Amino acid sequence: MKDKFDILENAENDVLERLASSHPKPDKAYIDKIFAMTEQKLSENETSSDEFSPNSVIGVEHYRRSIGVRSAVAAAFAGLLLIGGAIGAFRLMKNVKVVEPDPVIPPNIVTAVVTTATDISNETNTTSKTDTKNTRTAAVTVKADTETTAVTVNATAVNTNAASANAQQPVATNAGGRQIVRVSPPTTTRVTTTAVTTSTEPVPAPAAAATEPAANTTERPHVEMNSNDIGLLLNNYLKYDNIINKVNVSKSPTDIIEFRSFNYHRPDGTTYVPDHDGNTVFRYALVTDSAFSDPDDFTEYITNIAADQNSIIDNLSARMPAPVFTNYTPDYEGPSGNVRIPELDEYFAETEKTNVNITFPLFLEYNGKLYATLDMSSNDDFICSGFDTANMTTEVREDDPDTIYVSCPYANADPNLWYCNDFMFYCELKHDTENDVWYVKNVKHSYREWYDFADEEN
Amino acid sequence: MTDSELQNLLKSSPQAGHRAVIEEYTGYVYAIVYNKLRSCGTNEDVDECVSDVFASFLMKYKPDSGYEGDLRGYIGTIAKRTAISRYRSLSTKFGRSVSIEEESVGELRDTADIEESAEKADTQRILIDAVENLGEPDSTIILQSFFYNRTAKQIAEMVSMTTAAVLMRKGRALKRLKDILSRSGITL
Repeated sequence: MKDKFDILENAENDVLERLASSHPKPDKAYIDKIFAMTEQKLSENETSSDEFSPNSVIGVEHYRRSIGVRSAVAAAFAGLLLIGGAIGAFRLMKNVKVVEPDPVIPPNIVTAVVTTATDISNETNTTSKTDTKNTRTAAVTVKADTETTAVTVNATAVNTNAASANAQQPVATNAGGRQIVRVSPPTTTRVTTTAVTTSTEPVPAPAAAATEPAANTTERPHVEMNSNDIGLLLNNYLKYDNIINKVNVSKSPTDIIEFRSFNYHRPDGTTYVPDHDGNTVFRYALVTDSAFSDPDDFTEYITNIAADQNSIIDNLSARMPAPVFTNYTPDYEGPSGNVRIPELDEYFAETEKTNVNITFPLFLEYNGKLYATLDMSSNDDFICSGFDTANMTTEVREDDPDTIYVSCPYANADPNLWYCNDFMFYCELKHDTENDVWYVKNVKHSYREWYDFADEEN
Repeated sequence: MTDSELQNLLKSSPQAGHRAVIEEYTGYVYAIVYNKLRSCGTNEDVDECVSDVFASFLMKYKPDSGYEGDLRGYIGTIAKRTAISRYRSLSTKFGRSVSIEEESVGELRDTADIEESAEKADTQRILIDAVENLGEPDSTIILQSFFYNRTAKQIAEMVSMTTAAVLMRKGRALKRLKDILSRSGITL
């Protein structure tokens, strides 16, 4: 309806005048607001205009300046530039020095003999050049690149003038995998280097290597659910009128949530697997006891349920919502059907309804709201979903001003499908005058009739 | 308050005059501004523009200037121009402008369909006639609900009725409006 009035946008002058003249006088609060905004703008304008008061000086100031000033200033700047350049060049030249060779420093040599194990015999061969007098043994910790284990090595620190020739040499590594590391004092140090394997003895495997990779923990958690009232739900809620006429319970389905191909765990440990096609589908729609502060909120509410449903779906990876009552029977064939759910077995046994491919009320609680299935679970082409709110109508009857009767067709309903015929949503908004809130009650879906196959056979 | 009374008040007591002008013409200015900005502006934009209109009027209008025309026309003209200016500003802000270098600039040529424009104007008149024929407060309820997008609660405060009563009248008025318009060949 609102879009029909869009035609009045940019209306002709005479229509605009009529629109404007029919606009009621705004309330005092709005007038006050506009008055305050206007006064503020006026005062801001006065402030800014004061800057150009008669006392202000406006225009170009004329003054005399001798021509020589310009030349003098230019010369001064040029002089400054030259002086700056000269100072900069001098400083640059000053930084260039001839570097004298370093005096010979009595070397402090640490000869680190790196081995991969405790093979000290190698050390004897390779450190023969060093003076074994005055030696100190330092513990050197070597971190291995390739493994996580530390390899113990012996390092021999030598403080001798005789080794000065060697002291000028850079770090050298011989073919045997030994390193000579030149270091500054202190002579005892901690060297971190790469271990080179020289020993022929096998290196024990690091302990960390024995650690098994973490097990995959994505298994679905066990779902706890309270099914104490299942029987009650089944018997009393089976017909939709009975479901929705419960106090403060209403149904507001829009888009349907689907859960496909998952294992359903019951508290007793039973696991129900997807049907043989792997196409287990649970569909849910919202059932809630929401109250509304204003009937207009209701329209917004039913059009925004999809966000809540997305929230459920987003949280599926962490935990599937716990159904209060489960059903789903794609092509249910009695006790030998694909999905075995005791409550349904019991129900079918009682009512002698078999081979039923229909919907049952299936509830789950999420975030304080109840959701229920409304769809034919196995109908992939089911398209009766979503409200056509643009065509929603409301009616208030004279004898009952505190009730608003809402009726709304579903979008995309396919009249060729029996369950989509006259697919209408009805509900009543009841005004609780004491609390000044509106409740949704007596929700009905006109297409929802109990499809009794037994009757059909008769 | 008549225009001459307003002009006298503006002369004798500018502050009181400002308030009186705003009280007298806020509804009128709001309707003009909202009509222009409803597709691109927020309520805050509309309020800002309404106050701009009054500020502009009060800055320009000199009580001693000897102007004796009606203030309604004066303010209405300022309101239309200010609203158009704000509309352009908002349109530019939200990228509604079209680069003249684009190839599609050719589409900017005047393609106004006179017949269509005339038909639209007729429909506007029929619709506003039909709404006015509903009488008060139904016409206000329908316009405020469907054109100004106000909630039933807001309308209830505006017309001093309960929300339920507003909804009841709205339902009935809508039905009557549909009947009236269907007789004119317009379907809602």
